[in-house]
Amino acid sequence: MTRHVSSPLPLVNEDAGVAPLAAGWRYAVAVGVVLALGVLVVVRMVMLQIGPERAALVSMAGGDYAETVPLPRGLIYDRDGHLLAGDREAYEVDLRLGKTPGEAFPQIAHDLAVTLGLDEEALLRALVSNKARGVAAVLVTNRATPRQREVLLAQEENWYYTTPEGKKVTLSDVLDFHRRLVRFYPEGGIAANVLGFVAVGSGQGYGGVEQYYDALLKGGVAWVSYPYAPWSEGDAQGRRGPRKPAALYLTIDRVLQQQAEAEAARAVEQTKADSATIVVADPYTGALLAVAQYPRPNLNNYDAIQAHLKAWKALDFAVERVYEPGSVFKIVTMASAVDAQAVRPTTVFHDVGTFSVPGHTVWNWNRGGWGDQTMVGCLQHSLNTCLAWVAVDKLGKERFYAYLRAFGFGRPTGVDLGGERSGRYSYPGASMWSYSDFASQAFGQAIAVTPMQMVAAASAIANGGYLVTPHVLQYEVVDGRAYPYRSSGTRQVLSAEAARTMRQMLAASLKGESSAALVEGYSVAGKTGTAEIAVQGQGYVTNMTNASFVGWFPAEKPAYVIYVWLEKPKTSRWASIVAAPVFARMVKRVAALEHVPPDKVREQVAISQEPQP
Amino acid sequence: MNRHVQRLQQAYRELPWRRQARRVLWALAAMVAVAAVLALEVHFSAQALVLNYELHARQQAVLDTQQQIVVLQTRLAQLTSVDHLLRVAEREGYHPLSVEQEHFVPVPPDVLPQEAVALPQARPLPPSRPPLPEAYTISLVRWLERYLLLEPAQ
Repeated sequence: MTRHVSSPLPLVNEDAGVAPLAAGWRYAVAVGVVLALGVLVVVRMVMLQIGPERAALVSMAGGDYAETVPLPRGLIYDRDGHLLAGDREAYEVDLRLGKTPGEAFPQIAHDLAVTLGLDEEALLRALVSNKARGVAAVLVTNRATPRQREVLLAQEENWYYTTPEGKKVTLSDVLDFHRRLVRFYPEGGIAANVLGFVAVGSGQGYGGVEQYYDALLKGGVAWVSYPYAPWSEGDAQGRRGPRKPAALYLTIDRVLQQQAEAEAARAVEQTKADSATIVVADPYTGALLAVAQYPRPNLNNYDAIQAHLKAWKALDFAVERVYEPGSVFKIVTMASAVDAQAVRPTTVFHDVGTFSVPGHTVWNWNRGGWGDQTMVGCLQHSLNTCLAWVAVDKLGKERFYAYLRAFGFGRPTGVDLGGERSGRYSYPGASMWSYSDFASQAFGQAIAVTPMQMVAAASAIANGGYLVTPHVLQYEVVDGRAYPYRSSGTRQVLSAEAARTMRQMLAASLKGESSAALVEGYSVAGKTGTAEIAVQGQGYVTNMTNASFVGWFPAEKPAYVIYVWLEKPKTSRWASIVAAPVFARMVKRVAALEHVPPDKVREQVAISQEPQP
Repeated sequence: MNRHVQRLQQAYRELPWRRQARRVLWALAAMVAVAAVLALEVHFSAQALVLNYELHARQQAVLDTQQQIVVLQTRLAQLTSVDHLLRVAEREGYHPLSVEQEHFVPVPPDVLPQEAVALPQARPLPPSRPPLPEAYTISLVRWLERYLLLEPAQ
């Protein structure tokens, strides 16, 4: 006979005749307890992995599987390691409008405006209008200094409002301070045009080095990942994001820069010019030692930067502004003709005071004729007719425009400064081109260039014929490793012989006219340029000029190219009167700062170094 | 006789408590296996969390220090800025040197003092990570071979 048992476990097997029912249930309970404990352990372990405890632990450890590490923006130094762009501690100040009664607004606006240097009325209007719109909090400033924060917090004694419940609301109760690093330029306005600036909100660099090397200076946010489980992503060392911020060492010399800026300010003061731009460069490498201008803003004053940009539409005049260079451009035309062997220094041009091309007649600056003139005489007297003749009759348009392209006009030089413009000129095949343009371009009218393009072209003549890329970066340092500046390319545009001939011609022409650019003890070479300015609806006007001078020293072994541009000088319209003296003073300053010996000393040293027979 | 032994063996094998015990043991073994894996996970996670906490704390300290260094460098640079130094120098009665005031003396090159450049002592760089003991790098077969042959560890 078989007896059926309702238990799910076959605890009883009567066939076997053992395991009575009483012993079976005790066994089942014991087994059940053991199994329950085991299940509890497993469930607990699983919960530790996925439950709220896990989230609490991860949070305690500082975040989830990955974190982003904010890194300070890279620093910028001059060529000797002096800091030009760093960071300072600043506070973003927010006012919680929801907690602030409207009656307290006038007092709050007054205290905030006095402490933070803000416009009290504008601040009060902003508070009232934002409160009316239901805005919870308003940004008062994002550049408060630690000292200003201390002053605000110290106003704890000023009670502004007592709530109906009797609670006193103070200024510090309704203010939030968020610490951050903001860009600070310890030299103030020095090299402002070269450095550029950083927008506080976005952290984006604008103008100059800050814009051109923005990605390097930001470096990207580091992303670090740590493992939280044996199979989770990441590795023990963590993983890095794009790269750390780079420190940039520039070719700019801060003292030379300051001296050039002082000279630019002095030139504006003396000549009543609208602006002055001075560039000092090494002609062999293209390294820019100073890129000075006046006016320029103090980079630590954001309002001053805005005002400057509004007035000038450019931060760095040397690369962001184009103008017709005038007679300084004659060195390009003459160098091209000498290189093409279209003329020689002794080639004679018979000047009758005019030179005609189809549809246009070229006149000299004094409306007079100079008779027979060699090419040196043409440069010395800056004869427009002669240079138009050289370009049109001797060089020809194909070769002339081929040289313009070779010198890099009409496209950016590639200088590592933000916002560089390319300049422009009309050329054969363009819709508006004419022989008038051709003849005018030969002496620097009807062509728009940047000062940096002229520096590059002059450097090519000075260094033996090589067009180098102007640059301000000496090297970048990332993670303790220095990476030197690598030029995008150097190409020969003139033969060494043609460049040497041009250097001699320009030195001779300066001596011949007893130029104000001459400096006692030092041989210099260069060219003045006085360009009339075209006004909308009036054409070229004679009472407004761009006065410039480009040159180098020492004349035969150039070490420094110096470019001077004065915009609309008022005391005289002629570059020989206003720009040439600025060049001479710059030569003296550079010679003193760089310890360049006078020619006589250099000659003595050269003789002493010659091998004795 | 054999038949009785076989019957006893069969009966013993099929004893209910033996079958129950087998099932329980299998269940316990499975749980132990799961628990072992989970224990590994919990152990690793707990240690990783503690280390991550340390790493985060130190990284924040590094970041704070970096920021403080930058701020101090900037303040120092402000103190030694060109304009500031010029003002101080002029106040003390100094003035910039003009080129006319500089005197250059030609000196033959063989009398010039030669600049001695001291090179830094070459030092072996520390390894980027400590070398692992050999026990962690050799294969299991090789280890077993050594263990059985009682080779001295190298």
